[in-house]
Amino acid sequence: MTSSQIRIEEVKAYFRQQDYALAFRRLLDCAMDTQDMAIYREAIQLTAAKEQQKENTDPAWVSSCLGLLDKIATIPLQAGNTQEAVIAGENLTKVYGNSGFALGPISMQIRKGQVYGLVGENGNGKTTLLRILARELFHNEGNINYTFSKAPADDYDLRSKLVYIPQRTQKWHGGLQDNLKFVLANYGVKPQEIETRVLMMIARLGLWNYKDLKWHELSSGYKMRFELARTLLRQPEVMLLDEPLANLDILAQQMILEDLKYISNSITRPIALILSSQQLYEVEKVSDKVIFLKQGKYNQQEQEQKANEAQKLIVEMDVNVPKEKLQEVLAGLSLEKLSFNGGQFIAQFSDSTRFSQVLQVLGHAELELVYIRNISSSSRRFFVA
Amino acid sequence: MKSSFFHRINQHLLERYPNIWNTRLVWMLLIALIVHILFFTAGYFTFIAPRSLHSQLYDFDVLNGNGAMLFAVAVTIILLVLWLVYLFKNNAFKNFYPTSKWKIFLTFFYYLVIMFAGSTFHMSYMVGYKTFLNQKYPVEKFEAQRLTAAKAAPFLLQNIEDYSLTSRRYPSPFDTLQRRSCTPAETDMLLNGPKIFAHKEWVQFYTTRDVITTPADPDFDQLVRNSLSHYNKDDVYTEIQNGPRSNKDTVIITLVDKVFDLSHLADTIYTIFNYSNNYFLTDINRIMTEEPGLYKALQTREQGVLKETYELLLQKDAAGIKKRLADFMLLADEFQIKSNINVEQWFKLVNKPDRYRVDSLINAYPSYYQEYYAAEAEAADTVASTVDVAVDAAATPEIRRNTKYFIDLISFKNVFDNIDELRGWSNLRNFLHVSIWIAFGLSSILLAFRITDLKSVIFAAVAAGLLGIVVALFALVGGLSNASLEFSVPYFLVMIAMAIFIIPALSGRGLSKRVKSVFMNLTIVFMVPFALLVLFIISTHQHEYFRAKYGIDYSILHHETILESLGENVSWLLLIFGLVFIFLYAQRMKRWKALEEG
Repeated sequence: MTSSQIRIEEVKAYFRQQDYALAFRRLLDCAMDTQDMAIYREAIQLTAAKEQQKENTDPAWVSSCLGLLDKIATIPLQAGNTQEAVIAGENLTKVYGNSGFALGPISMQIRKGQVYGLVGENGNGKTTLLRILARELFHNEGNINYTFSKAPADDYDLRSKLVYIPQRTQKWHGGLQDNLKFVLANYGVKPQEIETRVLMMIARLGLWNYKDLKWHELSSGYKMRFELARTLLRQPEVMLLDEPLANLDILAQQMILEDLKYISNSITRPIALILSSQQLYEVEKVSDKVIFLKQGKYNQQEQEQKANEAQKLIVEMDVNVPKEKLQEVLAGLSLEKLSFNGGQFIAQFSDSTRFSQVLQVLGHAELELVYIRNISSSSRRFFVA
Repeated sequence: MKSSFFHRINQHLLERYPNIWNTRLVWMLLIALIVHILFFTAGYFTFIAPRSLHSQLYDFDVLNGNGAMLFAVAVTIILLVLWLVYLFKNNAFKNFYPTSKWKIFLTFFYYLVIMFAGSTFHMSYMVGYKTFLNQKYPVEKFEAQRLTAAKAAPFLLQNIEDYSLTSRRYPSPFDTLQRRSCTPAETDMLLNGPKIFAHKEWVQFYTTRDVITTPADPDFDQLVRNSLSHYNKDDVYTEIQNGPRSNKDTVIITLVDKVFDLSHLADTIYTIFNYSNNYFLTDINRIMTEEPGLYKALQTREQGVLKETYELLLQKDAAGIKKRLADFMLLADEFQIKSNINVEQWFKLVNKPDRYRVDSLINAYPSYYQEYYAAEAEAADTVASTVDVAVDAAATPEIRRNTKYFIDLISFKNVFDNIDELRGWSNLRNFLHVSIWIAFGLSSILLAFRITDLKSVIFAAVAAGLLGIVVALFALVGGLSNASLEFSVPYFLVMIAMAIFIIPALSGRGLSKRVKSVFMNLTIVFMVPFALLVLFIISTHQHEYFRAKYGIDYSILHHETILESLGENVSWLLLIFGLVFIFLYAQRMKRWKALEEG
């Protein structure tokens, strides 16, 4: 089976399991990969029908969706190149004269179809690194090579291919659709395809019910979705997002991250996606690779090596007991260190301790456990003092 | 329905011509067109009543007089401000989508077209009234009206001096001879030769000849002393004081050639035979400078009118004279000219077939004096109807001959002058050039803002101001040290401009993106003025060269500097240069846009 067929079967399975919202989003991903306007139009009609019904359980609608999937399955797709690094940075260094802060040297390879989570404490150079990669900021030392499917004609062309969305996005006037159409018109898309492509993107990013609104009428989450729509219409090969989850509620964060993951995994047009965020766990969930910056430094090899090494168990938990009581309960599990940051406990055990044992002990002790997470392989562990 | 029409057009533009959509070109031009039509219409009806032409007017007076200019400026400001607001609303100043230098150039060109269309409503107003005047007074009709007025002019009896011997220009040889007059107390002004005594004055008729010489000529001083008009004298001495080079300057000195005895032809009383004023035919001086060929034709026509009048008077053709008066009164009615005299009354005043002596004068306007006499002596045609100079020798000829009558001849003349002046298109060209360059300047600033941002534009404005202060200080220091500023200031400006143009290209990464944006903005806005400065410097050098080689009046020898020879075309050439420059420079704008910060 080809990757396309596998994906279509996955989507069908979602439909069978009646996970209609997820199934439909994935159906739209499949449709977008075809770049076929007839498929787009059909998908748009299904979106309109979906938004009209209160519950997505209309058998006729489901049947139409499955029918569309069958049609999509007949269209051959040419897989995009995900092997070559679209951005290859080597020993990148940036020194700020005034503050004395130095980023790097950093070396990294960014490939299409992969999501890279850029994490680190505030002031550790996440935005600086993104801006350097987007050629917004001059770096003092090192080299960056960009390899796009079509070589840029000049520096301006290169800059327009490096899509960077800052934390504070620009304010846009006017209607959503006009702004999105303007993007495609500037990219020379055929006039007869523009509306279809815009509606398709609106459908995919969940903006259907807001498509006739103006930018300032949208909530923060939908403004970010609009920004992503505007960006994705440019069919980028690389996207650099600075704190896209800021100001979003937890549900919106998860939705956007999932969408980004799926969209970047497009079969025909895979995207190399780098996103910086403070939402460690959410980012880790969707990232193929996490880049952790500490005091401006990132050592890819060291981090990969550490990730592969046998790790000590580190558990983050919120328990309504004094530290002494908790220490007493966990004493039998080779507890090496227990620290309290005012809200949560971080317990470090020897590598022989398993997470299930910790859960067992806490259960037996009947402690009031509010929250617990195994952060042994999470970047969260790097934040532990 | 209406909104869907606009929506459809907008969508069509958005999908096919994003740049046009984004600059709101179509809507702005449409609005501008409607406003232009309104201004044109208002202009067209400005002079619908001939009364509105009674006071002397030039294009600028017309525009200012009735608030058209003020209104046009107000509409322009409102329109362009609203447009800028819409540009912001269209996100026209921010996006990093792919573009080409052609698209950047077109953006600039659209700005230029919109700025021009939105700031030239006063010109449509001008075109409106000029069109009306050309339609209402086509050349043939207007010339016929001139002729009617010119033929009646000898009988208008307005200014007594028009009827004196010194005014006489017909028949030959009066037409070609110069004349001068003086009172008996001023006889030292008299030339050697025959003279005639008329109206308490000596009158002489003579011919002249021109001598072209230089101060280096040994006879120069003698020639100057003998010259008829000393208008060059001061210039000559000024030039000599400035340096020896001026000894080569060419000076034209006019000398009296021959004095003629015309006592056998002259009539020494105030008579209509002497009237030779050509006022109604045309403004000869203007025609002479602009179209010498036309000047000759008008001279011939003037002579024709004088000849016709002369023969009419010789033949004592009362019917002919009366017809001229009647034709004039019809024309006066058409022009809504005020008067208190009818053809019969007028004819009675002029029809003195003996020598057509001028006994009575008609006033040019209804003055208080006239009203007073009109009340006092309504019954009498003539207020002081004396023909004998000896009766009241103390009174001026005007007072002695004055009547209660008036024809508002000032307004009548103004109507002719105004039609002649206002229906011409030359001023419109001047306004056109001014408008184009205002639009070009504003469009350049807008493009700079489009490419960079507000901060860079403000920095560029501050930098331009500081450079202006530096140049002013340079000129001040130069002036205090008595250095010649003719070249030093322009060359200093060239040096500054060259530095602005070249430094960003040579600096590599030595200058930040922000600093480079200031240089770039200054280049965008000041490249055309720089080109003009270069032309100015070349012209100044040419001027110096020609003056050294041929003297101060080198233009007489048909040598011109580049600016003189280009004339009005320099504006068009600079416009083409400016457009080509923006097109070529767009590539550099893209390069700047792609620069990294920091």
